[in-house]
Amino acid sequence: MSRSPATLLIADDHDLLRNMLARRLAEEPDLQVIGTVADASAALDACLAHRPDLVLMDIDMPGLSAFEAAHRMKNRLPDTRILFLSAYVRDGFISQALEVRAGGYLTKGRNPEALITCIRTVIRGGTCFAPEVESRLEIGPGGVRLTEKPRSRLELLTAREKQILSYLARGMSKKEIARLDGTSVKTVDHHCQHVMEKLDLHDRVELTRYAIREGLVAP
Amino acid sequence: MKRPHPPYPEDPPSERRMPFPGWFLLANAVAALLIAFLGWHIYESHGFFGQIGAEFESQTEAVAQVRELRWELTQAAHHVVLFDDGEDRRKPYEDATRRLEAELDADLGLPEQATERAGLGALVDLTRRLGTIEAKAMVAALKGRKDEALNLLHSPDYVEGTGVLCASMDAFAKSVYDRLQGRLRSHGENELVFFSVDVAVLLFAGGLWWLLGVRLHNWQARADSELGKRINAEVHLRQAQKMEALGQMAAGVGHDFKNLLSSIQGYADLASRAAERGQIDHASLDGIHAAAQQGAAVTGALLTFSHNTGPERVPFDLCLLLTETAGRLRQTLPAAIQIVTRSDLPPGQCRIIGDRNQLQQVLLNLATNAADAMPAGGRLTVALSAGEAGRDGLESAGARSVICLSVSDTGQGIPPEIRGRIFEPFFTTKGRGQSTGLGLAIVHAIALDHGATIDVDSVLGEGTTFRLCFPRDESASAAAPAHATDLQGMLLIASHDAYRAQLLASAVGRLGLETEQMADWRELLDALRRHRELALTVLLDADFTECRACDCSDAFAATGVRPHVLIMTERDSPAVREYEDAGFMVLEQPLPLAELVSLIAKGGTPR
Repeated sequence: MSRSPATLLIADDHDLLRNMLARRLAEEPDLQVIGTVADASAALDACLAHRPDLVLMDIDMPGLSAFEAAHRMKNRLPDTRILFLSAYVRDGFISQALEVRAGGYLTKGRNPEALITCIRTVIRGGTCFAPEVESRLEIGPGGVRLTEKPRSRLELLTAREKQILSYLARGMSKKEIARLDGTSVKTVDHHCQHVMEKLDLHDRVELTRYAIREGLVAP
Repeated sequence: MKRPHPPYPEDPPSERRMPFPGWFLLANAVAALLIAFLGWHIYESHGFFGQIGAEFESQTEAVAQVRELRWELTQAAHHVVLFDDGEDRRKPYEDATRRLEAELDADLGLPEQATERAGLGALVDLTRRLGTIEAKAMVAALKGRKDEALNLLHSPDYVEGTGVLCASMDAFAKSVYDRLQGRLRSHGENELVFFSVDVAVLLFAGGLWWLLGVRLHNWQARADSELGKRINAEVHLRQAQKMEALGQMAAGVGHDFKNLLSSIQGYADLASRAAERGQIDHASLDGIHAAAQQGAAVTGALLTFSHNTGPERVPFDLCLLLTETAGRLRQTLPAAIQIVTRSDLPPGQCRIIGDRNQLQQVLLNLATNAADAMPAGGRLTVALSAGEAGRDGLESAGARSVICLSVSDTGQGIPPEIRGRIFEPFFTTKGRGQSTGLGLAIVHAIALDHGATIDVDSVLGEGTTFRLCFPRDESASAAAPAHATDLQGMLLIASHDAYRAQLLASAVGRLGLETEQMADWRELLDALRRHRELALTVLLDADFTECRACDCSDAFAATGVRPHVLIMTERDSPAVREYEDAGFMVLEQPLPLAELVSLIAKGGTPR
């Protein structure tokens, strides 16, 4: 017995794009477009009336904010997934999309096939963010959030790993480091491996050059 | 040489100047005069009262002295006459007489008023007359003519003279008192005048201060409104500058679109002809597709000027931006300008984080500025090169290497005297109406907003180079392995945050790794046993289990599986060392998703 198709609601104020999306998605047998609307308020009403599996929603629409509508949808229908589609990648948009725990945030102008793949991923419970959006995300203690600034790879290292790196850069052997640190050679070896993995550097010379460049040790 | 013109419509100097100095000095001068006047007045009053008191005291004392000496003389004369001891008494009498004469002489010099002097003169005469009678009486008594002596002392002249003397002394004292009282009364009247003057001066000074306050308030209000006007003007001029640039682009864009539309029409025609023949012309359809893509690129460029919202912060390739913008510059700048682009960096190695539209505007503004500096033509060089943070002055802790964008011209150069002002808003060396004076100010603001440094090197007659150094996006290289799709193995995500786990699973899923999300510790251990034949990576939230690091290690060992374990903890958590000693890789949060995915990818590779 074949599974019933997943239901979709499309919300976009651009008629041409909205109709194109509806026609294109209608060609997929596992997807069913149950309606198209031109603003967030209508999207909210249609969502509550038809309970779609996924709402594909433009961010920049007239009237009610798309995020406010998404928030209300999530409150009333927690199982409905929301996939944002926008021409812009803005920090404000990304953080609001994360706040409503959106299934994804895609940029317009992508290949329709990629969009359809994302829709399927999100319907299955996954998430799908455009690469330029994903590069702005970071995993923090409070969950997923927007990264604040460009980071140095040095920040990947823990305080102890930085210390080990500085010892290595000074030409100390693992045995010497273990004696100095009051730990076993095996532990130091673990740290060295982690440092090399995190920095993607695989010999002592590169590590030393990196440590000097980052100011961990004097040249 | 172009001359700088005033950057902003000038207000009349009197309105722009702060009204402080003149009014403030005047008010202070008046206040100082008032204080001096009051001081002088208090000093004068003190002197006056002292003088009145001293005069009253000295004159009253003089009268009392005369009265007392006169009494001593009368007593002495009577004693000689009545008790026949004249020889003994004559000496004190003569002494008292001398003292009285001296006192009277001194007192005569005291009174200032003529009437008082005349009264005192009469008093002296009377005293001397009484003294003469007493002298005669004492001579008669000493010669034994006691009756004659007594008659003299009881004569009407002597008796009446003594009464007149007492009355004269009283009258003299009263006249002195009246005169001083008069002076005091007159002074009181003067005081009223002085008080009135004081009040008037106080009112005047107060009024002056009030006027000063009003004027300062008005000046502040005007300054505020000027600031508001300046801000509005800046916003409008910024928009106007965009429109100016848009105008320059319009010709080039129109040309582009005409070509594109012609291509689409042509391809559509070819495709329809083929369709009439029952064929599908794939090449023509591809042509339409390509034209549409080019149209989208042009539209993207136009969007730079159309939206007015906040800046983006996304990673992008500066080399690509340079290539795209160079094409646009060739369409917009005069043909006499030779445009040279150069990049010392390989494609993919010039990624920075920022707003692509804003940086395109930076390039256009710098290029337009350079072209304006070469009215007779010249060479415009736009170059990209790698740099180091320290050497290029960038102190960002996050980025140690930088990408430097330089825009050079072979124009007239910038005179040293205006070099410090070129980034000021509204500062321009072009004629009024030819430029908003915002181009370089916008460049400067955008550069700072992107954490970039900006240097200007200019030699008169040779040209100018603007060099902007941006922090390199160092997360780009970290994220690179995330595109690999040939990984095998399984990632077990142990997190209480379902949304975070989903997002990670989706991101890692693209690498080809299978993922499974765990709800509790037991489920995680079961999964480890179940998938023991796979290369397993465990991404474990530190708060997922309460077991200590060594216990976790033992629990994993008990399953007989040795997964690659990545523990995610908060930065500087005290448990970090414990986990590290247990051999786990510790990832301190916050951590960019791309880097986390990259590290997981390394763990997921079969080892």
